[in-house]
Amino acid sequence: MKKYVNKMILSMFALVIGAFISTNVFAMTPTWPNDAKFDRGVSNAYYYVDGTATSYTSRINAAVDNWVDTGWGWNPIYLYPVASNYATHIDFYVSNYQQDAVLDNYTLAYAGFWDINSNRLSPAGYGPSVDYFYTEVKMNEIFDIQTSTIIHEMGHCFGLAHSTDHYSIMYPTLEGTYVTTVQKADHDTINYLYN
Amino acid sequence: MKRKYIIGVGLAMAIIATVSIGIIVNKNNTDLNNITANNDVADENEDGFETYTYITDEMLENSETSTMYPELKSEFTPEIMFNESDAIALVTITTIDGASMEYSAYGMTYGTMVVDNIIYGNIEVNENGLVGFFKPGGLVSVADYDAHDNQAAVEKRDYLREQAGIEIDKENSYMNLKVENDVELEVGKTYLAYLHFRDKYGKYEIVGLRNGLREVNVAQQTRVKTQSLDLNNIQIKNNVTGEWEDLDQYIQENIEVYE
Ligand SMILES: [Zn+2]
Repeated sequence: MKKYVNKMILSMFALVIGAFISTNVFAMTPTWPNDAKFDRGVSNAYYYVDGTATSYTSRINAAVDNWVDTGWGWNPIYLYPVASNYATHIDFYVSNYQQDAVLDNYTLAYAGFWDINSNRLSPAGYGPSVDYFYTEVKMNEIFDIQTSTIIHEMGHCFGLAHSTDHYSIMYPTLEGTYVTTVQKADHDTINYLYN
Repeated sequence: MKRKYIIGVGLAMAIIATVSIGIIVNKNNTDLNNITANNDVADENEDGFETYTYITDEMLENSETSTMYPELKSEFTPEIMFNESDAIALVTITTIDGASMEYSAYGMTYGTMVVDNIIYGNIEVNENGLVGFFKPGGLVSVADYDAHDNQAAVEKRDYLREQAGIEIDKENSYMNLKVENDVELEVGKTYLAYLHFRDKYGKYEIVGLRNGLREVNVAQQTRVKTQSLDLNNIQIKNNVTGEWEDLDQYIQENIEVYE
Protein backbone atom coordinates (compact mmCIF):
# COMPACT_ATOMS: atom_id res chain seq x y z
CA MET A 1 0.00 0.00 0.00
CA LYS A 2 2.77 2.38 1.05
CA LYS A 3 4.62 1.53 -2.13
CA TYR A 4 1.52 2.39 -4.14
CA VAL A 5 1.14 5.79 -2.41
CA ASN A 6 4.82 6.52 -3.03
CA LYS A 7 4.38 5.69 -6.67
CA MET A 8 1.39 8.02 -6.88
CA ILE A 9 3.29 10.89 -5.27
CA LEU A 10 6.15 10.24 -7.65
CA SER A 11 3.95 10.32 -10.74
CA MET A 12 2.22 13.51 -9.55
CA PHE A 13 5.66 15.07 -9.11
CA ALA A 14 6.55 13.90 -12.64
CA LEU A 15 3.35 15.56 -13.93
CA VAL A 16 4.25 18.91 -12.40
CA ILE A 17 7.82 18.77 -13.71
CA GLY A 18 6.50 17.60 -17.09
CA ALA A 19 4.11 20.53 -17.29
CA PHE A 20 6.97 22.90 -16.51
CA ILE A 21 9.24 21.38 -19.17
CA SER A 22 6.55 21.11 -21.84
CA THR A 23 5.58 24.80 -21.56
CA ASN A 24 9.21 25.69 -22.21
CA VAL A 25 10.10 23.16 -24.90
CA PHE A 26 6.83 23.50 -26.79
CA ALA A 27 6.33 27.26 -26.24
CA MET A 28 4.18 28.46 -29.10
CA THR A 29 2.72 31.77 -30.10
CA PRO A 30 -1.08 31.67 -29.57
CA THR A 31 -3.33 31.01 -32.55
CA TRP A 32 -6.85 32.25 -33.36
CA PRO A 33 -9.84 30.29 -32.02
CA ASN A 34 -10.18 26.89 -33.75
CA ASP A 35 -6.70 27.48 -35.18
CA ALA A 36 -8.27 29.61 -37.93
CA LYS A 37 -5.90 30.22 -40.84
CA PHE A 38 -5.77 30.80 -44.59
CA ASP A 39 -8.18 28.29 -46.15
CA ARG A 40 -5.83 28.05 -49.18
CA GLY A 41 -2.65 27.45 -47.18
CA VAL A 42 0.50 29.57 -47.45
CA SER A 43 2.81 27.64 -49.76
CA ASN A 44 1.60 29.34 -52.92
CA ALA A 45 0.39 32.65 -51.61
CA TYR A 46 0.13 36.13 -53.14
CA TYR A 47 0.40 39.62 -51.75
CA TYR A 48 -0.60 43.00 -53.11
CA VAL A 49 0.89 46.38 -52.27
CA ASP A 50 -1.70 49.08 -52.91
CA GLY A 51 -0.81 52.35 -54.61
CA THR A 52 -1.19 54.04 -51.21
CA ALA A 53 1.58 51.82 -49.77
CA THR A 54 4.21 51.77 -52.50
CA SER A 55 6.67 53.71 -50.33
CA TYR A 56 6.69 50.62 -48.09
CA THR A 57 7.42 48.13 -50.88
CA SER A 58 10.99 47.39 -49.82
CA ARG A 59 10.03 46.98 -46.13
CA ILE A 60 7.09 44.75 -47.10
CA ASN A 61 9.41 42.63 -49.25
CA ALA A 62 11.88 42.40 -46.36
CA ALA A 63 9.06 41.28 -44.06
CA VAL A 64 8.00 38.65 -46.62
CA ASP A 65 11.60 37.40 -46.82
CA ASN A 66 11.74 37.07 -43.05
CA TRP A 67 8.61 34.88 -43.00
CA VAL A 68 9.81 32.76 -45.93
CA ASP A 69 13.23 32.27 -44.38
CA THR A 70 12.91 32.74 -40.64
CA GLY A 71 16.30 31.27 -39.79
CA TRP A 72 14.55 28.66 -37.61
CA GLY A 73 14.35 25.91 -40.21
CA TRP A 74 11.76 25.01 -42.82
CA ASN A 75 8.22 26.36 -42.93
CA PRO A 76 5.64 26.15 -45.73
CA ILE A 77 5.34 29.91 -46.40
CA TYR A 78 6.01 31.11 -49.92
CA LEU A 79 4.67 34.44 -51.11
CA TYR A 80 4.66 36.12 -54.53
CA PRO A 81 4.00 39.82 -55.15
CA VAL A 82 1.25 40.54 -57.71
CA ALA A 83 -0.12 43.72 -59.27
CA SER A 84 -3.83 43.04 -58.69
CA ASN A 85 -5.52 42.29 -55.35
CA TYR A 86 -8.30 40.09 -56.79
CA ALA A 87 -6.78 36.72 -55.84
CA THR A 88 -4.35 37.71 -53.10
CA HIS A 89 -3.90 36.41 -49.55
CA ILE A 90 -2.51 39.62 -48.03
CA ASP A 91 -3.23 43.19 -49.16
CA PHE A 92 -1.23 46.14 -47.85
CA TYR A 93 -2.77 49.61 -47.67
CA VAL A 94 -1.97 52.93 -46.08
CA SER A 95 -5.34 54.15 -44.98
CA ASN A 96 -7.50 56.85 -43.49
CA TYR A 97 -7.01 57.18 -39.81
CA GLN A 98 -8.58 60.11 -37.93
CA GLN A 99 -5.74 61.88 -36.21
CA ASP A 100 -7.97 63.68 -33.71
CA ALA A 101 -9.07 60.28 -32.36
CA VAL A 102 -6.79 59.02 -29.59
CA LEU A 103 -7.18 55.38 -30.60
CA ASP A 104 -6.22 56.08 -34.20
CA ASN A 105 -3.32 58.18 -33.02
CA TYR A 106 -1.97 55.24 -31.00
CA THR A 107 -2.37 52.70 -33.80
CA LEU A 108 0.51 51.80 -36.08
CA ALA A 109 -1.45 49.31 -38.15
CA TYR A 110 -4.14 46.67 -37.87
CA ALA A 111 -5.08 43.40 -39.56
CA GLY A 112 -8.54 42.38 -40.82
CA PHE A 113 -9.90 39.02 -42.05
CA TRP A 114 -12.35 38.32 -44.87
CA ASP A 115 -14.09 35.33 -46.38
CA ILE A 116 -14.49 34.63 -50.11
CA ASN A 117 -17.92 36.33 -50.07
CA SER A 118 -16.44 39.63 -48.85
CA ASN A 119 -17.72 39.25 -45.29
CA ARG A 120 -15.58 40.47 -42.46
CA LEU A 121 -14.84 37.55 -40.18
CA SER A 122 -14.86 36.77 -36.48
CA PRO A 123 -18.18 35.12 -35.72
CA ALA A 124 -17.16 34.22 -32.18
CA GLY A 125 -16.40 37.86 -31.43
CA TYR A 126 -12.76 37.13 -30.76
CA GLY A 127 -10.38 36.65 -33.67
CA PRO A 128 -11.33 34.89 -36.87
CA SER A 129 -12.70 31.56 -35.64
CA VAL A 130 -13.14 30.01 -39.08
CA ASP A 131 -10.59 29.73 -41.88
CA TYR A 132 -10.42 32.84 -44.03
CA PHE A 133 -9.79 33.67 -47.70
CA TYR A 134 -7.82 36.89 -47.48
CA THR A 135 -6.49 39.49 -45.09
CA GLU A 136 -5.75 43.21 -45.09
CA VAL A 137 -3.01 45.16 -43.38
CA LYS A 138 -3.97 48.80 -42.92
CA MET A 139 -1.10 51.07 -41.99
CA ASN A 140 -1.52 54.46 -40.35
CA GLU A 141 -0.40 57.28 -42.61
CA ILE A 142 1.06 59.42 -39.80
CA PHE A 143 3.68 56.87 -38.75
CA ASP A 144 6.86 55.67 -40.38
CA ILE A 145 5.97 51.97 -40.18
CA GLN A 146 8.99 49.76 -39.57
CA THR A 147 9.63 46.32 -41.08
CA SER A 148 9.11 44.71 -37.64
CA THR A 149 5.55 46.06 -37.48
CA ILE A 150 4.85 44.70 -40.96
CA ILE A 151 6.24 41.29 -39.87
CA HIS A 152 3.93 41.44 -36.84
CA GLU A 153 0.86 42.23 -38.94
CA MET A 154 1.73 39.44 -41.38
CA GLY A 155 1.89 37.09 -38.38
CA HIS A 156 -1.77 37.92 -37.70
CA CYS A 157 -2.56 37.24 -41.36
CA PHE A 158 -0.94 33.79 -41.20
CA GLY A 159 -2.92 32.88 -38.07
CA LEU A 160 -0.96 34.12 -35.06
CA ALA A 161 -2.72 35.95 -32.24
CA HIS A 162 -1.06 38.24 -29.70
CA SER A 163 1.54 36.75 -27.39
CA THR A 164 2.36 37.80 -23.83
CA ASP A 165 6.01 36.95 -24.54
CA HIS A 166 8.04 40.13 -25.04
CA TYR A 167 10.45 38.02 -27.12
CA SER A 168 7.78 37.06 -29.68
CA ILE A 169 7.21 39.25 -32.74
CA MET A 170 3.51 38.92 -31.80
CA TYR A 171 3.72 40.96 -28.58
CA PRO A 172 0.85 43.49 -28.96
CA THR A 173 2.64 46.82 -28.54
CA LEU A 174 5.71 48.16 -30.30
CA GLU A 175 7.10 49.55 -27.05
CA GLY A 176 6.88 46.14 -25.35
CA THR A 177 8.34 44.05 -28.17
CA TYR A 178 12.01 43.23 -27.60
CA VAL A 179 12.59 41.59 -31.01
CA THR A 180 12.32 42.79 -34.60
CA THR A 181 12.15 39.50 -36.50
CA VAL A 182 10.26 36.18 -36.49
CA GLN A 183 11.23 34.10 -33.43
CA LYS A 184 11.29 30.31 -33.00
CA ALA A 185 7.93 30.22 -31.17
CA ASP A 186 6.34 32.19 -34.03
CA HIS A 187 7.96 29.96 -36.67
CA ASP A 188 6.96 26.75 -34.86
CA THR A 189 3.34 27.89 -34.71
CA ILE A 190 3.28 28.37 -38.49
CA ASN A 191 4.42 24.76 -38.90
CA TYR A 192 1.84 23.64 -36.35
CA LEU A 193 -0.94 25.45 -38.26
CA TYR A 194 -0.08 24.50 -41.83
CA ASN A 195 1.50 21.04 -41.56
CA MET B 1 6.74 3.87 -21.72
CA LYS B 2 2.99 3.47 -21.63
CA ARG B 3 2.73 5.54 -18.45
CA LYS B 4 4.74 8.35 -20.03
CA TYR B 5 2.30 8.32 -22.91
CA ILE B 6 -0.68 8.58 -20.54
CA ILE B 7 0.95 11.46 -18.66
CA GLY B 8 1.58 13.16 -21.99
CA VAL B 9 -2.05 12.78 -23.08
CA GLY B 10 -3.24 14.03 -19.67
CA LEU B 11 -1.04 17.07 -19.98
CA ALA B 12 -2.26 17.82 -23.48
CA MET B 13 -5.88 17.58 -22.32
CA ALA B 14 -5.20 19.90 -19.37
CA ILE B 15 -3.61 22.45 -21.69
CA ILE B 16 -6.52 22.22 -24.16
CA ALA B 17 -9.03 22.67 -21.31
CA THR B 18 -7.18 25.74 -20.00
CA VAL B 19 -7.01 27.31 -23.44
CA SER B 20 -10.71 26.58 -24.10
CA ILE B 21 -11.76 28.24 -20.83
CA GLY B 22 -9.72 31.30 -21.82
CA ILE B 23 -11.51 31.53 -25.15
CA ILE B 24 -14.99 31.13 -23.60
CA VAL B 25 -14.29 33.86 -21.04
CA ASN B 26 -12.99 36.16 -23.72
CA LYS B 27 -16.03 35.52 -25.90
CA ASN B 28 -18.43 36.51 -23.13
CA ASN B 29 -16.55 39.74 -22.52
CA THR B 30 -17.10 40.88 -26.06
CA ASP B 31 -20.73 39.93 -26.62
CA LEU B 32 -22.60 42.83 -28.16
CA ASN B 33 -25.92 41.05 -28.33
CA ASN B 34 -26.89 42.06 -24.81
CA ILE B 35 -27.66 45.59 -26.05
CA THR B 36 -31.44 45.68 -26.25
CA ALA B 37 -33.28 47.24 -29.14
CA ASN B 38 -35.43 50.29 -28.43
CA ASN B 39 -36.53 52.84 -31.00
CA ASP B 40 -37.68 55.65 -28.72
CA VAL B 41 -35.85 58.93 -28.84
CA ALA B 42 -34.11 60.34 -25.75
CA ASP B 43 -36.21 62.85 -23.91
CA GLU B 44 -35.93 64.26 -20.40
CA ASN B 45 -38.72 64.58 -17.87
CA GLU B 46 -38.84 64.29 -14.06
CA ASP B 47 -38.26 60.55 -14.40
CA GLY B 48 -35.02 61.16 -16.27
CA PHE B 49 -33.93 60.39 -19.82
CA GLU B 50 -35.38 57.58 -21.83
CA THR B 51 -32.74 55.14 -22.99
CA TYR B 52 -32.29 54.23 -26.64
CA THR B 53 -30.04 52.24 -28.91
CA TYR B 54 -30.09 52.30 -32.69
CA ILE B 55 -29.23 48.60 -32.93
CA THR B 56 -32.19 46.41 -33.82
CA ASP B 57 -32.42 42.63 -33.95
CA GLU B 58 -32.89 42.93 -37.71
CA MET B 59 -29.61 44.82 -38.02
CA LEU B 60 -27.80 42.19 -35.96
CA GLU B 61 -29.23 39.46 -38.18
CA ASN B 62 -27.89 41.25 -41.24
CA SER B 63 -24.43 41.75 -39.78
CA GLU B 64 -21.08 40.01 -39.74
CA THR B 65 -19.01 40.32 -36.59
CA SER B 66 -15.44 41.39 -36.99
CA THR B 67 -12.64 42.06 -34.54
CA MET B 68 -9.69 44.22 -35.54
CA TYR B 69 -6.23 43.68 -34.10
CA PRO B 70 -4.33 46.92 -33.73
CA GLU B 71 -0.66 47.16 -33.08
CA LEU B 72 -0.48 50.07 -30.67
CA LYS B 73 2.59 52.19 -30.13
CA SER B 74 2.14 51.63 -26.36
CA GLU B 75 -0.32 50.13 -23.90
CA PHE B 76 -3.12 52.26 -22.43
CA THR B 77 -1.69 52.60 -18.93
CA PRO B 78 -3.37 54.86 -16.33
CA GLU B 79 -0.63 57.45 -16.95
CA ILE B 80 -1.07 57.47 -20.73
CA MET B 81 -4.86 57.57 -20.43
CA PHE B 82 -4.58 60.47 -17.96
CA ASN B 83 -2.32 62.41 -20.31
CA GLU B 84 -4.70 61.88 -23.25
CA SER B 85 -7.83 62.85 -21.32
CA ASP B 86 -9.53 66.20 -20.77
CA ALA B 87 -11.68 64.70 -18.04
CA ILE B 88 -12.21 61.54 -16.03
CA ALA B 89 -15.73 61.03 -14.74
CA LEU B 90 -18.48 58.69 -13.65
CA VAL B 91 -21.03 58.75 -16.45
CA THR B 92 -24.27 56.92 -17.24
CA ILE B 93 -25.07 56.08 -20.85
CA THR B 94 -28.45 57.35 -22.02
CA THR B 95 -28.41 56.66 -25.76
CA ILE B 96 -26.39 54.81 -28.36
CA ASP B 97 -27.33 56.66 -31.52
CA GLY B 98 -25.27 55.22 -34.34
CA ALA B 99 -21.83 54.32 -35.66
CA SER B 100 -19.74 55.41 -38.62
CA MET B 101 -16.31 54.96 -40.15
CA GLU B 102 -16.17 58.75 -40.45
CA TYR B 103 -14.83 59.09 -36.90
CA SER B 104 -12.11 56.43 -36.83
CA ALA B 105 -10.39 53.74 -38.87
CA TYR B 106 -12.15 51.28 -36.51
CA GLY B 107 -15.50 52.96 -36.82
CA MET B 108 -16.87 54.75 -33.79
CA THR B 109 -20.16 54.43 -32.00
CA TYR B 110 -21.67 57.72 -30.86
CA GLY B 111 -24.33 58.55 -28.34
CA THR B 112 -25.14 60.55 -25.23
CA MET B 113 -24.52 60.22 -21.51
CA VAL B 114 -25.13 62.10 -18.28
CA VAL B 115 -22.23 63.07 -16.04
CA ASP B 116 -22.69 61.82 -12.48
CA ASN B 117 -19.37 62.82 -10.84
CA ILE B 118 -16.34 64.55 -12.31
CA ILE B 119 -13.13 63.11 -10.87
CA TYR B 120 -10.68 65.16 -12.92
CA GLY B 121 -10.93 68.07 -15.40
CA ASN B 122 -14.00 69.79 -16.80
CA ILE B 123 -16.80 68.58 -19.07
CA GLU B 124 -18.91 70.69 -21.42
CA VAL B 125 -22.51 69.66 -20.90
CA ASN B 126 -25.12 70.44 -23.58
CA GLU B 127 -28.19 72.60 -22.80
CA ASN B 128 -30.32 69.51 -22.31
CA GLY B 129 -27.95 68.11 -19.68
CA LEU B 130 -26.40 65.49 -21.94
CA VAL B 131 -22.87 64.98 -23.20
CA GLY B 132 -21.96 63.40 -26.56
CA PHE B 133 -19.51 60.48 -26.62
CA PHE B 134 -17.57 58.35 -29.08
CA LYS B 135 -16.48 54.79 -28.49
CA PRO B 136 -14.51 52.47 -30.83
CA GLY B 137 -16.38 49.96 -32.98
CA GLY B 138 -20.08 49.52 -33.60
CA LEU B 139 -22.56 48.38 -36.19
CA VAL B 140 -21.78 50.22 -39.43
CA SER B 141 -23.48 49.74 -42.77
CA VAL B 142 -21.46 48.23 -45.61
CA ALA B 143 -22.21 51.44 -47.56
CA ASP B 144 -20.63 53.54 -44.80
CA TYR B 145 -17.69 51.16 -44.54
CA ASP B 146 -17.06 51.30 -48.28
CA ALA B 147 -17.32 55.11 -48.37
CA HIS B 148 -14.31 55.37 -46.03
CA ASP B 149 -12.21 52.47 -47.29
CA ASN B 150 -9.39 52.26 -49.84
CA GLN B 151 -10.84 52.13 -53.35
CA ALA B 152 -8.96 48.96 -54.34
CA ALA B 153 -10.23 47.19 -51.23
CA VAL B 154 -13.85 48.06 -52.11
CA GLU B 155 -13.34 46.91 -55.71
CA LYS B 156 -11.96 43.57 -54.50
CA ARG B 157 -15.00 42.88 -52.35
CA ASP B 158 -17.37 43.86 -55.16
CA TYR B 159 -15.46 41.57 -57.52
CA LEU B 160 -15.57 38.60 -55.11
CA ARG B 161 -19.31 39.06 -54.54
CA GLU B 162 -19.87 39.19 -58.27
CA GLN B 163 -17.85 35.97 -58.73
CA ALA B 164 -19.91 34.28 -56.01
CA GLY B 165 -23.18 35.57 -57.51
CA ILE B 166 -23.98 37.49 -54.33
CA GLU B 167 -25.90 40.77 -54.34
CA ILE B 168 -26.26 42.74 -51.15
CA ASP B 169 -28.14 45.88 -50.15
CA LYS B 170 -25.16 47.84 -48.82
CA GLU B 171 -27.35 50.34 -46.94
CA ASN B 172 -29.01 47.54 -44.96
CA SER B 173 -26.12 45.12 -44.49
CA TYR B 174 -23.83 45.69 -41.54
CA MET B 175 -20.41 45.01 -40.11
CA ASN B 176 -20.34 44.58 -36.35
CA LEU B 177 -16.89 46.03 -35.70
CA LYS B 178 -14.96 45.38 -32.52
CA VAL B 179 -11.45 46.20 -31.40
CA GLU B 180 -9.33 43.72 -29.47
CA ASN B 181 -9.35 44.40 -25.70
CA ASP B 182 -12.33 46.71 -25.88
CA VAL B 183 -15.57 46.28 -23.91
CA GLU B 184 -19.19 46.72 -24.92
CA LEU B 185 -21.24 49.65 -23.71
CA GLU B 186 -24.79 49.33 -22.36
CA VAL B 187 -27.43 52.03 -21.98
CA GLY B 188 -28.47 52.72 -18.38
CA LYS B 189 -25.15 51.50 -17.00
CA THR B 190 -22.70 53.70 -15.12
CA TYR B 191 -18.99 53.73 -15.92
CA LEU B 192 -15.73 55.32 -14.92
CA ALA B 193 -14.65 56.85 -18.24
CA TYR B 194 -11.51 58.57 -19.48
CA LEU B 195 -12.69 61.31 -21.85
CA HIS B 196 -10.85 63.11 -24.63
CA PHE B 197 -12.69 66.08 -26.17
CA ARG B 198 -12.81 66.11 -29.97
CA ASP B 199 -13.30 69.76 -30.95
CA LYS B 200 -14.34 68.93 -34.48
CA TYR B 201 -17.45 67.09 -33.30
CA GLY B 202 -18.09 68.55 -29.83
CA LYS B 203 -18.10 65.03 -28.40
CA TYR B 204 -15.87 63.11 -25.97
CA GLU B 205 -13.98 60.03 -27.10
CA ILE B 206 -13.78 57.31 -24.45
CA VAL B 207 -10.05 56.61 -24.29
CA GLY B 208 -8.07 53.46 -23.47
CA LEU B 209 -10.35 50.61 -24.62
CA ARG B 210 -11.13 48.25 -21.68
CA ASN B 211 -8.81 50.15 -19.31
CA GLY B 212 -10.56 53.47 -19.83
CA LEU B 213 -14.19 52.32 -19.60
CA ARG B 214 -14.90 50.54 -16.33
CA GLU B 215 -18.35 49.59 -15.12
CA VAL B 216 -19.44 50.92 -11.71
CA ASN B 217 -21.37 48.63 -9.35
CA VAL B 218 -24.59 50.63 -9.18
CA ALA B 219 -27.95 49.46 -10.53
CA GLN B 220 -28.55 49.73 -14.29
CA GLN B 221 -31.25 52.38 -14.89
CA THR B 222 -34.17 51.93 -17.27
CA ARG B 223 -34.63 55.72 -17.41
CA VAL B 224 -31.45 57.64 -16.71
CA LYS B 225 -31.28 60.22 -13.94
CA THR B 226 -28.11 62.04 -12.93
CA GLN B 227 -26.85 60.56 -9.67
CA SER B 228 -24.28 61.94 -7.28
CA LEU B 229 -22.35 58.90 -6.18
CA ASP B 230 -20.36 58.50 -2.98
CA LEU B 231 -16.89 57.92 -4.38
CA ASN B 232 -15.72 56.25 -1.17
CA ASN B 233 -18.28 53.49 -1.35
CA ILE B 234 -18.37 52.22 -4.89
CA GLN B 235 -16.40 49.74 -6.89
CA ILE B 236 -15.30 49.58 -10.51
CA LYS B 237 -14.82 46.50 -12.64
CA ASN B 238 -11.32 45.49 -13.67
CA ASN B 239 -11.93 44.30 -17.25
CA VAL B 240 -8.70 42.30 -17.29
CA THR B 241 -9.24 40.24 -14.12
CA GLY B 242 -13.06 40.55 -13.98
CA GLU B 243 -12.79 41.63 -10.32
CA TRP B 244 -14.37 44.64 -8.62
CA GLU B 245 -11.95 47.17 -7.13
CA ASP B 246 -12.46 50.12 -4.78
CA LEU B 247 -12.83 53.35 -6.71
CA ASP B 248 -11.32 55.54 -3.97
CA GLN B 249 -8.16 53.46 -3.98
CA TYR B 250 -8.03 53.54 -7.79
CA ILE B 251 -8.33 57.35 -7.75
CA GLN B 252 -5.52 57.68 -5.21
CA GLU B 253 -3.16 55.31 -6.98
CA ASN B 254 -3.91 55.98 -10.63
CA ILE B 255 -5.36 59.48 -11.04
CA GLU B 256 -4.28 61.78 -8.21
CA VAL B 257 -0.61 60.86 -8.67
CA TYR B 258 -0.63 62.46 -12.15
CA GLU B 259 -2.58 65.65 -11.29
ZN1 LIG C 1 -1.08 42.80 -33.42
